Amino acid sequence: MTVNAVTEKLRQTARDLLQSGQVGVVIGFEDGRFPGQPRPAFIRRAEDADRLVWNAFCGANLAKYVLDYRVGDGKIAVVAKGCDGAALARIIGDQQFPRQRLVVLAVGCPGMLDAGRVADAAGLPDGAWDAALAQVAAAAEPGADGFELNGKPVSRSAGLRPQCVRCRQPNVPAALEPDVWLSEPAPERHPSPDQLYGDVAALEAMSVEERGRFWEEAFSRCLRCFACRNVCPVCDCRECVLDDAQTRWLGKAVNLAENQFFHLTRAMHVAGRCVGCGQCEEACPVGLPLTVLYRKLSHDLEELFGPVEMPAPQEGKAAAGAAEGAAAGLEKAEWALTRFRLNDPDEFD
Amino acid sequence: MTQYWVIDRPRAEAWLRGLTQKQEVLVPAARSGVWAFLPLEAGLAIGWDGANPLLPAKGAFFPQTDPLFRFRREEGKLNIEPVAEAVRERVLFGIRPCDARSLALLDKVFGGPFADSQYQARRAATLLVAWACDHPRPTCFCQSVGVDPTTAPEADVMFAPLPRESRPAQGSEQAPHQREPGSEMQYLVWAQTQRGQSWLESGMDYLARAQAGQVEAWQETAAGMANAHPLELDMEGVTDRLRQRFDDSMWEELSARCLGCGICTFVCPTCHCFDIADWQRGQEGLRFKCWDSCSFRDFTLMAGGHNPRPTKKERIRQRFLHKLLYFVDRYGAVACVGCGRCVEQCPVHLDITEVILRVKGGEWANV
Amino acid sequence: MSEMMAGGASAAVAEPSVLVPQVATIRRVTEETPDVKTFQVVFEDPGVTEDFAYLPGQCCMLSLPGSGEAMISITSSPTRRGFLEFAVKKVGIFTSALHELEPGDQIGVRGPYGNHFPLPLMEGRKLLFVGGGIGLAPLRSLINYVIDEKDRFGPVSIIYGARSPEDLVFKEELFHTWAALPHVSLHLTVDKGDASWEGHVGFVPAYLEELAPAPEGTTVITCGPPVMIKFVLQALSKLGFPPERVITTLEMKMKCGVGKCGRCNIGGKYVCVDGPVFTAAELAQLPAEY
Repeated sequence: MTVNAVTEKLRQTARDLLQSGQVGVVIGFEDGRFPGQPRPAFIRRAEDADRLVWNAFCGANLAKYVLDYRVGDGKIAVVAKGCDGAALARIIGDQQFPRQRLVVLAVGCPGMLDAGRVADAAGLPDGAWDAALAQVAAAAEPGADGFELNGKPVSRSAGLRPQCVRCRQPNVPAALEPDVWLSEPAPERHPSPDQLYGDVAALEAMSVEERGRFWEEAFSRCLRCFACRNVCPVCDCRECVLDDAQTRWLGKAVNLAENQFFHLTRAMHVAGRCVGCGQCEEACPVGLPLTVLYRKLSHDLEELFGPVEMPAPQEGKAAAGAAEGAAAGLEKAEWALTRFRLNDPDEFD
Repeated sequence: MTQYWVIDRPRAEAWLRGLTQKQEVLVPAARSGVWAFLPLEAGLAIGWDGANPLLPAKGAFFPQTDPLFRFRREEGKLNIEPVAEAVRERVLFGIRPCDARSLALLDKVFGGPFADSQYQARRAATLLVAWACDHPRPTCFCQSVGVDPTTAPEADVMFAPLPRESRPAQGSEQAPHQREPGSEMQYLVWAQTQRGQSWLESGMDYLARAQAGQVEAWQETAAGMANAHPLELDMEGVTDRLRQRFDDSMWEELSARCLGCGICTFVCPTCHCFDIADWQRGQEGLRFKCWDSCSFRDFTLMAGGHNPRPTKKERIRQRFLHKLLYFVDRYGAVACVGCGRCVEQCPVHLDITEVILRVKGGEWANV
Repeated sequence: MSEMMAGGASAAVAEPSVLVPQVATIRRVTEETPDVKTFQVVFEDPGVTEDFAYLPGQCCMLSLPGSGEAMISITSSPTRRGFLEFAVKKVGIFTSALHELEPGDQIGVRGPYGNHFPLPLMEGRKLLFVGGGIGLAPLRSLINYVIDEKDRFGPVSIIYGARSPEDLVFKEELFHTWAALPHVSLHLTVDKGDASWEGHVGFVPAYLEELAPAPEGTTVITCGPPVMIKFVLQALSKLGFPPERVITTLEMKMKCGVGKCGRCNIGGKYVCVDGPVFTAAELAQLPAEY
């Protein structure tokens, strides 16, 4: 199998970082059991660096995993698309992981493919995605505009993950000051308002009763497996209020009332912090339209407070080794709804 | 001597829909895109051609939230009123051999000493009609764990799809273009228990005697389905090897990827761990049992703060050893039926097939 | 059968679950230490008390619906009939709520659960009890059983310690009832003494080594905090006690108590049904995940 240029540089970089002892682990992707489903990989030895891959299906957000390394003082390297980078910035901003312990391996992201959507776009039957996707996984350069599958041309956009269609951040935020670029930065992306908020607007257009029914129907499906929370890179609390066995704010019964409490609490906790990576919705086994809820909140926040702005990178720091400056900037950054001030004009009573 | 019958899809539909007049009939169906076993009702399409439901059949016997008793506490006095559940006769239609096997495994857990009366009452009241499985997913590996996709010994009645060439028209007056898609499908039907036999006798208006060659045609198809499932695992010796691998580095490596969510346990037809919790408002409340997951941090967290399984490593080890070792020692079978739900649903592609492969010293072909 | 199926609607009411407790009334509350109370309870239904057969080492699930449920060892001896006693340390939501209760208040009780101390390993032999803190609770059931059936057992030695003098449980028995019995020898210790304490000061495992009882003809029963058990087992092994003659009890989080809910296993053993009593030899076969 030919190896694309990003994979090649990734492997070399990982090898160097591990060999020199600069990092204890490189978090990236490796091939999984099925084509089109690479899985997160944790490479600890230089000789394993060749397991790393970068292809058109590396959609999972890896930032969440740095939270598993909070205890300790070694450095870890993370492969970061735009949304991984945004999440890392968030985690650093929340002071849950120090920038100084991260080696950010940035990669420009043209949007990632979803195996199921690609199979659908190619008209593959439900049970046949695995073999056919092998061809795509092998042939599709991460940035290719399209490819042929099942004798049909499939455009990249037809197979994109829904959250990638809405993406406005194909590259890590500049404030993160990545240590290594594995590829050229990706061109900017400008999704249309309809792509960004079309489904939100459709919900807003509903009557209160209709909207209530929509969400009640959705939340009543929830299994409370907590995948949405556990996969969410900005759910970075050390102990989740929803797990607190002492208070049991969230009851154990699975019913509409408890489910609603769970999802609305989480929505408020990620409001203004959500990076739009869409992992929650992708992981949800019962297809809850969670990002619609979170995007509604983001949309309102943007209208009320203006767009979320990352702090500017520190002056005079070169890309590599700029960690300290970036850390300082990110940790001081203030996102809407994330800081409480005593002089807040609202009275909360 | 087994008596074989044939039924086409429209007749089977008519029979099942007719039954709903007097009893509950659970069928594979989708609601809001989620496949589950749902009570058949007007407007609900039976998922004849759909995938194995995301939510396994266990929920029909072991619901996610299952009330035990109501209570009232007043001035120190405690009143307890057990939930008196009226369990009605019902039909669970369209489970596949993997889920049928899972019920046999759950029977071992919820039977025996301290049997779970609610589970058992629901099981006793439910007639199982299984389908021979002709739609394996790429993630299916039932044959590797000893489940035969063509037959479910646990079921009262079997439905098996007949190959096209052995389906003489069963008296349909409609022209082909007027028929529903799939209406030409015919099923070979037979009873495997006395109860199944009685059920078939009650449906004679819909059933026709199998014609010469149809049974053989099915048997040929079934033979062809053997080893047809895409994922193949070598289970030989896995349990014994795991006995030696409690302290293996494998657990640490695998757990790095685990998110600690409960998807794998909730969609698993054999996972049965539960919690017991209370809901209280004022002086009254309800105690219920509910699904729990060994992946969750608080699963073994004790009141004093001690947790014998403090990290993801201990928790995933528990999950896989429970399925592949502890359950075998306790009940004599692996607690996995190869349905592939966890393989398909895990957001980070960590599943039991990987554990089995690693225990056998293998790796992915493409790594 | 076919009529029943064809009729379809026939319904049966499921028996109440085994997870539904019996109502019991608290008859007496003894404040043992600042955070341990002993509750003496009787079932509301006298028939349940009458039929309640158990042996030392077994446990019950105590319930305070709304606050939860916990597995607590029975500290009374089956030789003393008509009531059950549970010594409960305040550690979480449920036990704190229980500590608020007074005589006359009601709780839920289900059980008895688990195995019991293996009497054949003890009959006709000298018995050495080694306990720490609230760990004396299950031992007390057996100690009183042995005292009441003294013809079946040899002489009894008890080594018991707690953090401080006020943390010693069952003071009435320690200082009066048991202390007065000629065939019972008592060795008390505290981690840290106070002005009034004239007894031994030091950790239980060290005191055990200091006392150095002879292993011949003796069965040891030990219970206490996990770290104490660990060092007591090491000390006993050093003193030459064979692990088959050393008996201990384990504690895990439990919910159902009847081997179904899947969380209290250590390796393949469910503490709720295969335990809580294990010999040190059995313990050595289990993974150290407790």
